[in-house]
Amino acid sequence: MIEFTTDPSVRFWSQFVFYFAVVNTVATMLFTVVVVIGGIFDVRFLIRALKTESLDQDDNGQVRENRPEDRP
Amino acid sequence: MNVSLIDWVIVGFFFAASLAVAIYMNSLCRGVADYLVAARKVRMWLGIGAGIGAEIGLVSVAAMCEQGYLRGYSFTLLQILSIAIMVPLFGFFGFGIQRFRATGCMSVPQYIEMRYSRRLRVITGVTNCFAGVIQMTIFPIVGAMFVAMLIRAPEMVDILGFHVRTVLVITAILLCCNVLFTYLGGAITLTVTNFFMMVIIMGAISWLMLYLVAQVGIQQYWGDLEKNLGLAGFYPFTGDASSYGFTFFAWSTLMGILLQFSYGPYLQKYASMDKPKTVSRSYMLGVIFGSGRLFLIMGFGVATLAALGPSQPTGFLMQNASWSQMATPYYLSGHLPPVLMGFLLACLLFADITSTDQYLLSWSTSIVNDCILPLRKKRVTPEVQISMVRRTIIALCVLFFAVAIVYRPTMPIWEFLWLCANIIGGSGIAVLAGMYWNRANTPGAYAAIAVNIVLPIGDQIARYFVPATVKFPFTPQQTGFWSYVIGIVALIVVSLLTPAENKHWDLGKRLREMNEESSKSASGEVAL
Repeated sequence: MIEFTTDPSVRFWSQFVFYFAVVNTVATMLFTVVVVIGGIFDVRFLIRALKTESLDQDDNGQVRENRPEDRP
Repeated sequence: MNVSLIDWVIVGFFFAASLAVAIYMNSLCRGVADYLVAARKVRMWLGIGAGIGAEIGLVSVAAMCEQGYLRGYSFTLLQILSIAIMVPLFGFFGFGIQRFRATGCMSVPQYIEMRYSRRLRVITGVTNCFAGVIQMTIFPIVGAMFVAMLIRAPEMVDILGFHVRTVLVITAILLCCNVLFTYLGGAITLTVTNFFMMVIIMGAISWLMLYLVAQVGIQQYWGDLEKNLGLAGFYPFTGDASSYGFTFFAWSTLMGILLQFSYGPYLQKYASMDKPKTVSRSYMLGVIFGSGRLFLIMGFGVATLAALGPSQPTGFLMQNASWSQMATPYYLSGHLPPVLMGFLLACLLFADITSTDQYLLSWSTSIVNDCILPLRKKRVTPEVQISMVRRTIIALCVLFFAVAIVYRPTMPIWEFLWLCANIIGGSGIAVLAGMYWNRANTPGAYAAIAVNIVLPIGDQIARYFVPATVKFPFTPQQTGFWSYVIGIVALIVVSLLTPAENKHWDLGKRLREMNEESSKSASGEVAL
């Protein structure tokens, strides 16, 4: 694909990093497509949940003794 | 400026589309849990997509380009070693992060109150918010400087009769966008808009990388990296002053682990997920996905190094710290065709909105929930609580603008970001010990957090007073690493030596119950 340096101290790491970077970059581009498709379904799930499920108004980030979830 | 009309149209179109999504999501916001943790209904793919969007900030794009320009791909080996440790730990075993989700907490300090004490919650909240906000202060101005160089904006512009610096105008525009998106709907809006913005960001950086490699030529791209940086461009442990080194690796790995239990934006993301298993799965895929993204963005800096070389072009008289930050946008500004420039600008705008908003929401939430509300005796209504978070967001943006007026770069961006994160990592020791060790107690947690406040800040103060001619005995990385080690030892020793009320509860049991419940409901869904 390309000619690497002839300097033996650099050559191994240069080759290793090159192939790792190429494989990783291509895999990331392909994986983006998978994330996008899966994410669209998850957005639909989130919107449906927001419209249909009830919300615990006491779930506000504060610790209170009378909430069973906040009791160790 | 070197931006054509079509580029502005592209930016305007994507911005309007994102704003429409934000307005719609805002209409679905019902209360505090929706606004702060997206009703805890974020599933895996959405979590990965939104998380990736939130992690590619404009400031991190600038920082990664700078690292690519200064150190080539030497970060690769560190990345591989880090993945080898982090993916099994968090991705497979869900170490700590699944347990945190099982607590049902919205933030680290909330857990600290449940496990230790309310006073320690406030102290942790104040410390973490302080370090987090200080870290964030450079986000808008560094991003604005990057964009200003990219579009070759004039240094000064006249607005309403005032002669002002262009970077301040861009900073103000970015901050207005941040307020707008955070104000509208909070976490539910950010989760969905971050996801859609991630698509634009990944599309633009992939296209740009392919374009740059085609322009420079793959042989010159790699050959010049070998020629300019030598082994230091690929291998991080050469021992040169410019290489990362083992201490850096040990410190960054330990900090990376502890930040999973202490860094507000991470924990808020975990808290918003639908079940504990989703947290570890999305972590695993997110890390692997994030690795390729790092190569793409650092590649812009490497392409700049291949095209411009390590020195400034003749006629430039910048300080080295400034030039290394500005080299990549300077190179890109002269080489991008119309349309690609429009996509890149949209990408950078969205990169700023996604990450800054996530961080703004997280620290504003923490300021209100962990520093103000625990001190109030009277409960506030959900509307008042959300309003307090929104006003804090505006106040922080005003602060960031004030910092932008006086900001001058003095060190590489990443070093500054890590230095602040170092202080936050200390509370991770208390959280982790609290979740796994039933002997950990409040005095021990105080000791660990105190060590990690005093040592890093003391290090910085000492550095300020030591003359430039005298070599400081520790590097910032060494101070960071040993602060964590001493903090861990302090927690263990103090906990063993002091009798104190113990509020440990079995999170492992609760986690198993939650995962079983979600498995049952999933199989129920299939049966239906």
